[in-house]
Parts: sequence; C-alpha cells; structure tokens
Amino acid sequence: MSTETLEGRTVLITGAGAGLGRGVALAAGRAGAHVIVTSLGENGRETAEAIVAAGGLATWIVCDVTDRDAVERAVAEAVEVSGRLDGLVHNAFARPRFDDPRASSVAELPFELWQHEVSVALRGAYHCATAGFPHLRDSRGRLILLSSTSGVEGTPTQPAYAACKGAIRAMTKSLAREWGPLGITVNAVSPYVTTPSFDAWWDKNPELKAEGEALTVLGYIGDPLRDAGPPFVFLLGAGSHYLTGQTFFIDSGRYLSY
Amino acid sequence: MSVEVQSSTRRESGERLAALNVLVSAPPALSGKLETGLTQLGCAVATIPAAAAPRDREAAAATVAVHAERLGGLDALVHAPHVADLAPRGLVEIDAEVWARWAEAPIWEALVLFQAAYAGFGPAGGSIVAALPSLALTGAADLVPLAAAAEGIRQLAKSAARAWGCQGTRVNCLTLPIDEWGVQAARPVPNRYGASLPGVNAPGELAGAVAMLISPFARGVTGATVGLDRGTVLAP
Repeated sequence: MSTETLEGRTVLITGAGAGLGRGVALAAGRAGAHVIVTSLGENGRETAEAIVAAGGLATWIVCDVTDRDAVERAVAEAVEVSGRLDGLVHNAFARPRFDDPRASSVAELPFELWQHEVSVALRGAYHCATAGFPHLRDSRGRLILLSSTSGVEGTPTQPAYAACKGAIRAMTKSLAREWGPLGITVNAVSPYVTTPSFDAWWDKNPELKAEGEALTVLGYIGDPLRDAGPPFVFLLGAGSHYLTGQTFFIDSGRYLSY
Repeated sequence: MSVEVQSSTRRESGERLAALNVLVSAPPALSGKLETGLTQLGCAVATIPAAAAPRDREAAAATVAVHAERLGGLDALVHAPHVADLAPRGLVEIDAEVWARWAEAPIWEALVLFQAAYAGFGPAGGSIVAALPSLALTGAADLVPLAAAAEGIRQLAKSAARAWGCQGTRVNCLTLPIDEWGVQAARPVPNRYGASLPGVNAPGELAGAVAMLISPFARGVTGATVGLDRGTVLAP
C-alpha cells in the first residue's frame, strides 16, 4: 500500500459506494484520512462501515451530484464533522445506458441520454469544484476529477462520455491555472480498473475482458483498492504539492500515446 | 483557385475544390472570414447566422436540409462554437445557468449539427471541421467553461471520426487563437516562445486550412487536430 499518510486530512469522494470510488475511499481511510463517503444509494454506508471496521474514520452522506444544493450540503457537513476539507475526488459517473442503443450512437444520441451523462460527469464536476473551493483554498487542498482515455482519443460508442471526459481534462488544466496561485492543485485521473459495471459487462462478454487485458502493458486490469488506491492517496497527500494540471493514467499501461 | 486531384475513383477524379458545398456555423467575425476565404477558393458557401444556430436535433436537421438544398448538396460543415455573452470570469463567479450555457450547451449544439450534417451528406459521405480555441489544449484561467466546451467538442469530433469513417465521412479539428472568438484571456497563458508566425489569420489562411482538411487531398485524415494559431500552442 501507499506510504503516503493522510493523517489529519479530510477527503470527500463522490460515487464512493462501489467500484473505483469505494477503492479510493478504502485506501484513503487506511492512509489515515477522515473519509467523507458520498453516494447516491445505500452502498455508501457499507463503504464507510468498512473503513471504520478497519480502524479508520469515515462519514457517509447521501449526495446526488447533479443537485447543486445537495453537493453544497455534503461539503458543509464534511467541514462540520471534521473541521476541514483537504481533498475532493469527483468520481461519480452516470450508470451506462446499455439498454438504449441510441446511447452508443454518435448519429442518434438524443438529448435525454446526453443529459444523463452530462448532469453527473460534467455538471457534477462544476458543482463539486465550486462547492469545495472555499475550503480547498483554506487548506491549499487537492481537487481530483475523473477523466478517461475516451476523453483523449474519442470513442465511437460512447459519444457523451467521451465529450464529458474531454471537457473535464480541459477543466482540470484551466482550474489548475486559475487556482494554482491559491495553492490548490487540480489533477485528472484516467483509470482502467475493474468495477461492478465492467464485471457485469464481462460476465456477459467474457472475450471482451481478454481483449481489455491484451490492451495493457502489465497484462491485467487492476483492482480499485490495490492498484488505483495508492496513486490516489499520493495525489491527495502532501507529497503531490508540485503536481497540478496533469492527467494521470492509472491503467496498467493501456494508454501510452499522451 | 481550384485544386486538381488526380486519382482513379469517380469522386476523386478531376475533382475541384470549386465543386465543394460548404455550410459554415460560427461566431459572426469568424464566420465572415471563413465565408470570404472559402468563396475565394471557389467553394459554394452557406452560413448559419449565429443568432439562428440550432439548439436541438430537429432544428439542426431542418436548418442543414434547407442550406443543403440551397447549395445543391452538402460536402462539408465547418463549425465553431458560439457563446453570445462569453467573458473571462472565475469559475466560482458563474452560476449553474451560465455554466450550462457556456460549457455544456456548445457541446450539445456541435453534436446536433454534426448529426444533421452526417445525415445530410450524400452517399459518398462528407467532411466536418470543428474550429476550436487552441487555449483549450493548454487550459486557461477564467475561461474554464469555454475550454471545457472546446475539448468536449474535440473529443466528440474524434468519436464521430471513429464512428463515421467507414461511411466516408471525415471529422477533423482546427485550433485557432482565442481572439477569433472576440475574447481576450484575462490571464494569458504563459508561453515562452509566443506565436511562431507573425500576424493574424487572414481569411485566405483560415479557408486554406479548412480547404486542406475537406479536400480529397486529405482523404486519409480524420480525427486529427491541426493547429492554426500561428504556431503558438505546439502540443501534440
């Protein structure tokens, strides 16, 4: 695990009930952070309980990132219970709409499916950034947004996702410039790890998992806690103070064209 | 000026740039330069006024159909995002409504135009060029929404390039100085070298780069980003 300590720090992670968000939350908890676990559903409670059961400190808050007031309440509660906010990871993403083929069509994507993606990924990033700003300014903290290789090289089957993730990379660079003089660092992470969504997809299409693994240099698709947790902890910690505006590909060497 | 391309297929053989019908959708100043330059190169050009830019799929389809009929067919779309009241402001100074209008709406509006153009091209396909501010590649303080919109559109363009290439439609991007949008960065992006080329983009230079991308000369180019910022941002 990471040697970075997050003792004395409070980090808020959206979409932390499962998948990558849960892995990052557990890793941050093990590193000593007070983890504010936010989730849309009940699964955030399980993440928080797991952190506490391991000897860590966690607070679970239900939060719909598409709702500005909900995000502001979550941030306010985080500061109320811990006295500070040092890091904010906007990890929540819209549940893929595999049920509607128009979601995967650049030519046919309708507004409601576009909004489904944008409201969580991009509007959610705006909500998190603006709600977290005054506290991150006070702590000279860390904002981490989630991007994707789809936001760098496009994808023919997830146009809304690609657009949002590209927008988030530009938002990351721009906010890094805007907030850098205040001591806030802003970075993006492009992960490639197993998640419940991936697992469900691979259960139906096992050949695709082998194809996905073949795209990696290390030959496997990582685990959210074991493989993605440590680099996230580093980015949330004091040791990353000199890094900002970057996109970190935590992906087993899958994408090397950057 | 006309461009002769020697090749063996019907579409490529003896094709002249003069034969290309181009629809332009861009902010007023940029639109005027593109129209002037492309017309000088021999293209037939129709322009969607910025105030009439379609906001949804139905309006975009109708708008593109009208212009395609007027032009006698559509070969290319050149689109640059238009944000009417854009001004440099810190992110925390703008509310959600402004964020939606400055960052999210331009991406959606680009998509509906791309979709309409794709549907309006002939069976041999066509070409789309997205003209975007180059500062989105490097990030820009106080212009977070515009940078986000531009990079969102660029990734949308790459996605469309991947999806539509097999139907003969190509999608590429041009990156231009932010001045083309009538906006000055409040805090200019530090650049050790500045612009490599002196001057500003003339209509002919803008149109020349567009023409290069939409012409059969570039039939192997899609999903690419060409910098037309006089050599300022030399990012990959």
